[in-house]
Amino acid sequence: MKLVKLFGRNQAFRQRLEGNRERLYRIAYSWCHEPALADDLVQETMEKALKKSGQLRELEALDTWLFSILNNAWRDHFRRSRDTVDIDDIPFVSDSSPEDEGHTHQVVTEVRGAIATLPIGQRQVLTLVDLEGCSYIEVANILGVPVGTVMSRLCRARRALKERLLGTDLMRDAATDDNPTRIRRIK
Amino acid sequence: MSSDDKLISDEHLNAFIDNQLDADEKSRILSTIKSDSELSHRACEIKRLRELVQHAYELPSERAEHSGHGRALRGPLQAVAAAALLVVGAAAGWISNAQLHPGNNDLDVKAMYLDEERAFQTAQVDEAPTVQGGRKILLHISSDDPQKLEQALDTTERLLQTYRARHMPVELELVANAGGLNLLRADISPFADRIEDLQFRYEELTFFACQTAINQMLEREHRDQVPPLLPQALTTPNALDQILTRLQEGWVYISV
Repeated sequence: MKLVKLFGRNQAFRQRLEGNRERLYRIAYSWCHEPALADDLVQETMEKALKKSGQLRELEALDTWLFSILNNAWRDHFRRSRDTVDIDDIPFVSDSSPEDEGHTHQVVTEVRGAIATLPIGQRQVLTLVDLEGCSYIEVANILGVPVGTVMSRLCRARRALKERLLGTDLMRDAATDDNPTRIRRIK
Repeated sequence: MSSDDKLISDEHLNAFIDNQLDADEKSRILSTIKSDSELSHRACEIKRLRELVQHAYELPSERAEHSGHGRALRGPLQAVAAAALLVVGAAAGWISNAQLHPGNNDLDVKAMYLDEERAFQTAQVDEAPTVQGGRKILLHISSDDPQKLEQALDTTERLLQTYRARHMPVELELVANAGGLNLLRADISPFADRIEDLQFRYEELTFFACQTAINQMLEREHRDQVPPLLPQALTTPNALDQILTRLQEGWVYISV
């Protein structure tokens, strides 16, 4: 507690926040697939984090806390644009789809395209687990949902991705049916 | 699907892959996976999907620092374009200035790497950033030209020798796909003895054959049997995947 208070709004806390900017951007981008919006969300998150730094009880919880703020910023964005719709039900597809960004890089475009078709609740769970390595409990705290919901959303998200990606060249290239051992042997 | 398989739900299997289960649950699933190929297959698919998600956002999602909207676009687009360049390059031998230039200087070799903004850069291998003070190099060979195969081994040896002499930690992976597989095929490699010798002298060297390329070769040549690989050769599921992964980890990439 003392330590956190010491950090407060001082320079060290700012630096620590700044150190998390890239990670926040990566997650925000994976949710919305719009660079400008992701940037705005990160900026909003950083500002709120600075203002509310006193609320952070344990410094170890910084990551989870920041992602919660990001999630709130993201929900606020939706509330502003669509007042009455539950964002968990929206199969969100952004205006600048990942496909538009270049057909040339197959793996990145196909996977991002598949993720862009997931309902946002599933996408959030998937990206927090896969990109940030958050535990299920952390994800539950960040999104304010029960752990069981996290598990079922993640499961549905991966099922959908599998259906979308398994038939593509990308998955065939990575491992053919003749060679079902798909876990890497490299370090 | 076996009866054990049915007992393990998708939710549990996901949790297993994400390391979210307690020790008992983990060992129960682990022992079932060992004896159940279908479950193992499902587990591998989940793991593979996770890797794909990580890969999809690792490169392009980097943002420009102090961005306005215009600059915010730069990171993703540049990275996508650069990654595309690598895809094309891996197949076509990349661009001319990435070729090897054996010369007087032992380290006169062009390499590429990802900079802090995850954009591709080229430099002499010695000038590229290091990883925790050590040099990590991925050398990629996709041609069956015997001269190029030899050149790959020459460069490998020269780099290892030089960094060892400087007492600088070095790790080198030689990844072969397409025609480059010939280098690691026990039945036709012209350099089997030399590879054995190199491996004996340099434990920091690893040879990888691309499994995807092997499968494609089997299909193309209507073979049933995988040709024997040299005992020094390991396999990697996909050479391109490995190159991209290594680049993201700070390795430098050299295309022969």
